[in-house]
Amino acid sequence: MLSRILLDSLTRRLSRKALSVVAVWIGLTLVLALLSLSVDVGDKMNLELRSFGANITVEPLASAIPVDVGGHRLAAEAVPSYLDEAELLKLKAITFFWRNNILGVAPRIRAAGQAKGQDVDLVGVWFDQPVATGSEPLVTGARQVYTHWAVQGAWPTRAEECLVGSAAARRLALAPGDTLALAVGREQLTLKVTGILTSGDKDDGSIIAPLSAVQGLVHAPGKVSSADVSALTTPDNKLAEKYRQDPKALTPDEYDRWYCTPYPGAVAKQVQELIPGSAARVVRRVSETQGMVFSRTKGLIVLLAALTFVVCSLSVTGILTAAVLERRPEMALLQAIGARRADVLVLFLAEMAILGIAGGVLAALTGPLLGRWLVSLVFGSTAELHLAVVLVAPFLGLGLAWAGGLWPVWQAVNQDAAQVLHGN
Amino acid sequence: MLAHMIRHSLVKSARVTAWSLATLTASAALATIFFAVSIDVGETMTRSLRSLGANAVAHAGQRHDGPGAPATTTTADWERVRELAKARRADLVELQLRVAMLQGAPTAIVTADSAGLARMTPYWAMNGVRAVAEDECAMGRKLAQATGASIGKSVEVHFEGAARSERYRVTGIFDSGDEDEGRIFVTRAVRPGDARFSYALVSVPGGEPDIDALNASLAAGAAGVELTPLRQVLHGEQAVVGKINLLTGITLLAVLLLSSVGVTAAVLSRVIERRKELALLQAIGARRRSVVAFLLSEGASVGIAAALVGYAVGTGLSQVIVRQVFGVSVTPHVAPFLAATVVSVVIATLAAGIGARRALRMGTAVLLKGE
Amino acid sequence: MVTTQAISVQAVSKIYPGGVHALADVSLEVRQGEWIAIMGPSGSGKTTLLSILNGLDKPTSGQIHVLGTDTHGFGPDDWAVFRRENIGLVFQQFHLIPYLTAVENVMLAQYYHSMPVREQALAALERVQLAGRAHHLPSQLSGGEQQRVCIARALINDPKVVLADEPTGNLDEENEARVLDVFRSLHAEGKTLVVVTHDPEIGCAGERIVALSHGKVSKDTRTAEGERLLSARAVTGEVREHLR
Repeated sequence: MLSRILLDSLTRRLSRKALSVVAVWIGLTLVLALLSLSVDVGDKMNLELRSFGANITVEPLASAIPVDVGGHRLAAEAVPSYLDEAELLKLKAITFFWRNNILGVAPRIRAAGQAKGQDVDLVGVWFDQPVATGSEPLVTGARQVYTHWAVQGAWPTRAEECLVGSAAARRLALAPGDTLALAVGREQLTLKVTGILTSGDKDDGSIIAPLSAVQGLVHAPGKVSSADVSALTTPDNKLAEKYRQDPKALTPDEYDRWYCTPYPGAVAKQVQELIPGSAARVVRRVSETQGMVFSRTKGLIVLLAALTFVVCSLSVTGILTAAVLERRPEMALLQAIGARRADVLVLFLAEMAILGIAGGVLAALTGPLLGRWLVSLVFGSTAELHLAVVLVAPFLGLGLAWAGGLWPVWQAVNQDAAQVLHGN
Repeated sequence: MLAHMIRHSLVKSARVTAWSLATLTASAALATIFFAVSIDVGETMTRSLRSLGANAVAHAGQRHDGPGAPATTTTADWERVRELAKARRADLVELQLRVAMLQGAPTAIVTADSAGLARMTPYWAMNGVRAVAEDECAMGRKLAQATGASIGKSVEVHFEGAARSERYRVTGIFDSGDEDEGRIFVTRAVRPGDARFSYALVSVPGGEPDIDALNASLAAGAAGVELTPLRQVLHGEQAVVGKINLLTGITLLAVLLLSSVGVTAAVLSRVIERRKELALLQAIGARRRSVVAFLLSEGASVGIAAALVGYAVGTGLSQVIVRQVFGVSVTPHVAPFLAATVVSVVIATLAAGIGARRALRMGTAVLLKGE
Repeated sequence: MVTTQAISVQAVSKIYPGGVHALADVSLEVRQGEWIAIMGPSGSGKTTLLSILNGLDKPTSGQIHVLGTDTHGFGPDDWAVFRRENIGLVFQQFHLIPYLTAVENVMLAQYYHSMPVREQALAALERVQLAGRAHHLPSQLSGGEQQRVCIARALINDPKVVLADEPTGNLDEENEARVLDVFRSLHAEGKTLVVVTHDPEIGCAGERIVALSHGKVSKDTRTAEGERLLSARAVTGEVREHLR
């Protein structure tokens, strides 16, 4: 009989029930979308931190310390020291533990030269250099790592093309399309200027040429002065700080944990171990900003998801409450013909459960899809479908329906039945 | 008469009123929180990031003009720069760089106010402590490794031009990952005669546009100083803040949509509950227009009450939340109040209107007859 | 002859919040098998009295015994169980579940009493001449038909007491007559009937009229029908005596 009542109530008043189902459906779709978004947001946001560019610099260990200020070299290094360009390829090799965390590598070689009769700084970098990896080849270089570089004109695509820093361009009166005759010692080279670079750092005063061209000018084939590495890292925590204060203070367990977590320091240390004769340093201004942005963002997303859930629950509860309040005479009647309060409660909660689960199942279909769409809208990448989100949906629907129904039904069954039956 | 009726109708059905008031208030509060948090989440994030120190460097102008003899005595008017920076609420710390010989190699010695430097470079990872006293210094890790210096030891730097030496005790060694790691930072004032290069670290509230604005006023003020944004960090911030803005925007939209639905449901159920009463009003000669006016003004008055309470609650909560997440306080805005008002008043009134339409369509006779 | 009281109301008062005295010190005895009508002007407390008799409302003070059971201390659930065993309710507004058919509405009462049996429910509808409309929804039935479904539902569990609140208030004369017929046959079966009405015709159909005024019993009179039945009973008694 109970199932009969439920069935009739559901099928014969379909349009009214549909409203509750739709309410649960829409509400949960949004919640699930945000839920799947927040499951992904850690990874996605971390990838987004790529836009900060290099957070680790690698230099030769023996490198003397130049005295630079604002692009001026106040005291030049005596003997230039180099790293092997080929060693850098190991960063993406299958044997390197953090190869997937290395998002980009930009080696640089520095040289001092002359152009138009003036002294200029010359920097050789990779532009769009393909690097063999375990799976698909990675194209990397200045363009990918220095995301903050703004180029007016075009990026160089050939060996005899170059960029000119904005300050250098002003001084040398260069514009895109000009040709530039460079001299380093007795070596001569003519490059075509394709674009003017604004970087906001000392590169603004330099000529940026392809790495191999500059290597040729300074007679250092296959050598680089330094490399900037963009790595996916997690924010420093107590363990990382403990290591930094005193690496020996860590217990072997802690050390293992530190070593296998992509803290900036841990990744830098392993880069340094990988490349012989190198010193890898974390660019702390960048890594600290990344860490802060990451933790703040995560907090924000969790907050958003939680608030949305609260709003959803409230709205759905409101709708279900309205649906229950409409049926108070029905509940009063059931009591009048001999149903105990618990009987009425069971009947209504069963009905709400069916509605809630129906809404939840529908939301399980649409929520993750909406989440995927949101991820692609916000982060421009595809998200995975999370099975857990799909599975939890019907239960959330049930919970929501009961949360919304329990109180009003209980209120209704404890109301003044005589008054309700009398039409008040 | 209408006001009297509304007041009594609200009081009489106190329980229903309380329920719709609660729903409305909660929605208004949530809308407030959302708006307060999201309206300037970008700015909040940027301000939060300012705790990470400088976002621009000020040098004497034309400094990128190439290697060669740098201007060791600068023509920059630092007094003027400080004033202009202050006018734009920017924090500015001036540094004096001298070149001295340390163990036979040229080394940069930077003089800076201890507290100011700490404000600008909180991202430095210090072992030991920053230099405070005149004879103390903090040394970059790279330089320390190159010279074998360690905490507690003293270093002697020789100024060849002045034919003079200074001694400093190393109190801290820091990692920064940039050129500062090759420098020594001291607090002792530079002697007037020493050759020096002045520059400043600047923390400008807001992002790149604000730095550009400050730069423009520096140029106009003829201070001879140019500001260079630390573009790498700013660029990253901007990209992330853009995403966050988009994300909060989407969520805000969803939440507004949902709370509208909830509020509509609450108000509708209230109207439907009182169909009979409305039918009766018509039966005793009220025009449809006055019945609708009655419902709308009732909806609006409940909405206004909810908006006020919800705004107060929401503002308080959003302060707590923003402090939790971003570690900064939010400035109260008008926009969240508008949002709260829109959510509760407009939606309540709208829903009441829909309810009125539905109630009036049902037909007076049917309603009065009972079932 | 059984003289047990079906309903015994002793000094019952009901004061609503706000100080309205709906019932003031009302006492009333209803014999088993008796058919009484409670009459009175609006606001006299007749509906309140009925609500207290069926347990949907609670008296402020006083005692109520129904079928010998002291209902003092009954909670809502005790009353629900008591009602489904012993009391049938007939409402002015019928109160049928809108999404259940006539026969399902009747079976619903069976469900809460024991177990639903379709044949019995159909038979109950047959009794109120509604067998042909058994599978219609309430919205497809006229007012009179809905009221008869309501009566069928009240009778399905064979209650000893039937309480009706303005059962003909929403009906035309023809349907009123039908409902009266049903009540007469119930009375003939020996069921106790309490009917709240302001229709003198319905009132006079019973044995006794209890008039309420301002929450008090103002008059308690036997109807012509009551007198007739009383004398008939007396005669039967005498005959029985005589035969003995």
